[in-house]
Amino acid sequence: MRLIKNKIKRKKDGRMPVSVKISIIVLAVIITASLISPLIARHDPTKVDLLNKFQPCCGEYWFGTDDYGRCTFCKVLYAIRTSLGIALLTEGLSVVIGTLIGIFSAYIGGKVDYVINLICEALLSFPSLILTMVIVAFLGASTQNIIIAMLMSNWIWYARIARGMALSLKERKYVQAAEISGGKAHTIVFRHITPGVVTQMIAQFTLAIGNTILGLAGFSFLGIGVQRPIPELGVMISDACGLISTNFMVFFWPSIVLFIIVLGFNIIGDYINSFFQKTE
Amino acid sequence: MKKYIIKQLIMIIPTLLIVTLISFLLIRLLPSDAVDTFLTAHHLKRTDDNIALVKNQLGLDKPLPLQYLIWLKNALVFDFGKSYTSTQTVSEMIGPAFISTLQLALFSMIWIVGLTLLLGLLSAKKPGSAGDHFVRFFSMFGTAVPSFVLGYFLIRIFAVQLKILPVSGKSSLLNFLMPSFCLALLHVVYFIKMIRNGMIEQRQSPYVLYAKVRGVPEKRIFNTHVLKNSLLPVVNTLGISIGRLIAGTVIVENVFAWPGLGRLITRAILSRDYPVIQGYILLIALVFCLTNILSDIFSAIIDPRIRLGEKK
Amino acid sequence: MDIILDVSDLNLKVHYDDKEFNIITDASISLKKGEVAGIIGESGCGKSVFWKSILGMLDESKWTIEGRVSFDGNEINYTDESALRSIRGKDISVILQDPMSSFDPIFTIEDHFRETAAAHAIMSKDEVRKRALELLTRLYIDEPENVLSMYPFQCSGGMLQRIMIAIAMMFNPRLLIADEPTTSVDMTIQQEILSMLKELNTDSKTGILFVSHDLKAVESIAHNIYVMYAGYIVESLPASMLSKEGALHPYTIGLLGSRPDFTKNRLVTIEGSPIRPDERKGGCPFFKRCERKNPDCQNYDMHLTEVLPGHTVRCFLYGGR
Repeated sequence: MRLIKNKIKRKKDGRMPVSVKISIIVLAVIITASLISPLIARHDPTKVDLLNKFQPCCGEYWFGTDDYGRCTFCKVLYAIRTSLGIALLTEGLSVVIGTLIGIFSAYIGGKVDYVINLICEALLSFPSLILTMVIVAFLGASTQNIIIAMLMSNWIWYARIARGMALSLKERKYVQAAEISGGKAHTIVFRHITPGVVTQMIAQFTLAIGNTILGLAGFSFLGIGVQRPIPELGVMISDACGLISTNFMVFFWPSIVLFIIVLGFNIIGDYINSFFQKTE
Repeated sequence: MKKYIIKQLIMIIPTLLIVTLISFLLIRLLPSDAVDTFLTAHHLKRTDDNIALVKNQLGLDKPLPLQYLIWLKNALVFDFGKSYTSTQTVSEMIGPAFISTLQLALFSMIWIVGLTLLLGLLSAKKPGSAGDHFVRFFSMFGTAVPSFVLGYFLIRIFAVQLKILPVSGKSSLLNFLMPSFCLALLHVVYFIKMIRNGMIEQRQSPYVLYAKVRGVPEKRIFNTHVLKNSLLPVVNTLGISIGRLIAGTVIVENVFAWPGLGRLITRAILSRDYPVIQGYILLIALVFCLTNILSDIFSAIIDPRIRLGEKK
Repeated sequence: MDIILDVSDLNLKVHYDDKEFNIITDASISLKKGEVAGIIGESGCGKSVFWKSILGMLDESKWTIEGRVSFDGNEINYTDESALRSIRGKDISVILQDPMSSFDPIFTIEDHFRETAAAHAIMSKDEVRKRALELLTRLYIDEPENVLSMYPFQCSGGMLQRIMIAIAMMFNPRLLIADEPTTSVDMTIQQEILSMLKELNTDSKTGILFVSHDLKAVESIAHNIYVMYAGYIVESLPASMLSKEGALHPYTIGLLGSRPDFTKNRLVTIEGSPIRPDERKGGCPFFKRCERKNPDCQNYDMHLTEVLPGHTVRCFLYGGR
C-alpha cells in the first residue's frame, strides 16, 4: 500500500512514469542492436537460400525465414537501421532548416516574413502525406527522392512554430532591452531568440519523429519510398503482405517492430511535451 | 458571414489556377520526360519519328504558355487528356475512382462520429476512471499502429481466420467495414484527444461555476455547457477532416485493393502518368477548398459567435 | 427569524500531495435579515473558498470541512446534494466577479434565465420571459426584449453584471452572495452596481454577503465588516467603526492606510505579500508584515477577543495573556 502511494506521488512530482522508462530501454536496445547489426546478424540478410525458406522461429533463425529463405531477424535489424536513419536524418534536417527559416523570417519581418508566412500557411493546408506524395510524383519514386520530398514537406511545420515563438520572444522585454542598448543583430538572434525557440523545437521533434518513421514506412510500403533491395521495414511489410494467409510470421515481425518503435517514440515524445507544458 | 463565405468561394479560382500552374510547370521542367514515359508505356521504339509523333499527339510541340492554356481550357470541361499508360481518358479513370473514395470516406465518417462520441464521453465523464485509462491506451495504440499493418492484421483475423468479412474489393457493404475502420482510426484518436482536453477545460470554466451557483443540476451542466462547448471545435474540424479522409486513403486502398483515387495515384506515380497526376492534384485542391468552406459553414451554424461576427 | 445566515467555527482544510493545509480557520459570521456583511481581504486569503463552502460547492475528495452553517434558522445539511442544489440560485444567489466569461457563449441571455427557472420551478416560457423582463427593467436595462435574445458576447461587461444580478433576483433570494462584483467593471459602472445592490437590499430586504478586496466598495455598502487574512477573520466590526481610530488590528489599519488619499503625497502600502498556506507555521500569520510585532506573537494561538459588543479581534496586542 505504502509503495503504491509512493508511486502515485512520484508521478505527481513530474518524475518519469514506468511507461516512459520501458520505452527508453526498449528503444535503446533496438537502436544499439541495429547500429551493431553486422556484429549480431549471423546471416547475410540478402542471401537467398531456397532450401531454407519459411523456417519457423528457432535458435538459428530467431524470427524464422521468408519466402526466399532469408533470415527475417537479420533483415529486420538492417531495416531498422534504414528506417531510423532516414527518419532521423530528414526530421533532423527539417528541424534545422525550419527553425532557421522561421527565426530568420520573424526577425527580418516585413514583406519577406509575409511571403514566407503565406507559403507556409498555403502548404500546411494540405496534409503532409499528400504534399510528400505529390512531390514524389514530380520527382519520381526513388530512395533519394523520398528523402527530398519529406524534407520539403516537413520543414514548413517547424518554420511556422519557430516563427511564432520568435515573434513572441521578440516582444519580450529582455530582447527589446538588448536591441535598444545596441546589441548586434546576430547576437540578439543567437543569444536571446534562438535558445528559447530551440527547446520548443526539440519538444516538437520528439513528438513528430514517430510519425515520420510511420510515414516513411508507409511510402516504402506503397513503393514510392525506399526502393528494393535496400532493407526497410515498410518494404519488408510490403514484400510479406502476400503471405499473411500462409506464412503470417514473415509479415508479423517487421510489423510489430515498426509498431514498437513508433509507440516508444510517441510515449517519450508525449512525456517530454507534457514536461514542457508544465514548466511553462 | 455570408459575405465571408462568398469571398472564400471566389478565392477558390485563383487558388486552383496557382495549383495547376505550379504542377504544370513542374512536370514540364523536371528531368523525367513525358515522351519517354509515353514511349515505354506503349512499347514504342525511341526513334526520331516516334518522338515527333508522340510530341505532336500530346501537344508538347507547342510553346509552354499555349500548352498550359490548352490544358486549362480542356480542364474546364473536365477533359484532362488521355492517360499515358491506359487507353482511357483521365476523367474516365478519376471519376469512378473519386466516387469509390468518397463512399469510403463517408463510411469512415460513421466510424469517426460513433467512436469519437462513445470513447470521448467514456473518457471525459470521469477523468482517471477505468474507462478513461482504456481510451488513453486505445489512443496510444491508434497513433502508433501503421494503417497498413492494422489492415493486414484485420484481414488475417476477420477474412482469413474467421472468414466473416471479404478480403478486398468493393462488392458489398461488408467490404466497407475494415478499410473504413483503418481510415477512421487516426481521426478518432485525434478527436478523442480534442474532446477530452476540451471537457477538462470546460469543467473549469467560469460559466460552469455560474451554472452551479444557479442550482442547475450537474447532469444538465454536463450535457449542455460542458458537452456542447467541447464539441464545438470537433464540429469545426469535422469538415476539414472529410478532405483529409479523401486525400488520406492511399495506403488503405492499396491494402484492401479498393478501386479508388489512392490506388489510382499510386499507380500513376509509379508509371509517371502525368495527365493523371495533374488531374488528381487539381481534384484534391478543389476538395480541400470546398471542405474548408464547408467547415466554415458548419462552424457558423453551431457557433453564434462566428455566425454573428464576433470572430472570423 | 432575525438571523438568516449563521456560520460558526468553520474550518476548511485542503489535501494536496499527502499534506493538509488550513485554508479557513475558525471563521464565524452572522448576517441579519436585510443586512449587508462585507468580507475584505487580499486575493488568496480564502474569501472565495469561504462562500463556496457555504453553498457546499467544494470537492469533498480534496477538502475537509468542519463547522456549522445555519440558513434561515435551519442547519444546512451538506450530505443532501439535491437540497443544496435547490438552495443555490433560489434562496441563496451568487453573482460572480467576471461577467464576461461567466455566461455560456453559445446560449442567449434568455436561455440563461430559462435554465435558472427550470432548475427550481415549473414555469412556462412566457412566465419566464415576463419575469425576466420585469427584472431587467428593474435593473434599468434598456430595450429588455432585445437584450433577452442577445448572446453574451454582444453585451458589455456592465450590462452582463446587471443581467447577472437580475438572474440572481429571479426567486427573490433571502441572501445574495456578491463575489468581487465591482472588480472587472470600470469605475462608473462600479458605482452603478453598488447603488443597485443597495437598492435591492433596502427594497427587498435581501441580505447581502459582499466579498471583495476593494475596501472602498465594501465600506460604502456593508453594515458589518469582516477582515480576513490568511484564512482567519482577524477583525470584525460595524462599518461605522471602520476608521484608523476605531479599528484595532494592525492589518485592518494597514488596509485603511493603503487607501488612495488625495491629501497624502504617497500611497502607503503594507510591506510584503500575503503568506502562502504552505509557508505557515504557528502563531500569527501576519507576523512578518506587522508593524507592531512582538516576539510573543509567534506563539499566539489566534483566539478571538471581543473588545466591544459586535467588535472582535484576533491579535496578541488585545488578547494576549
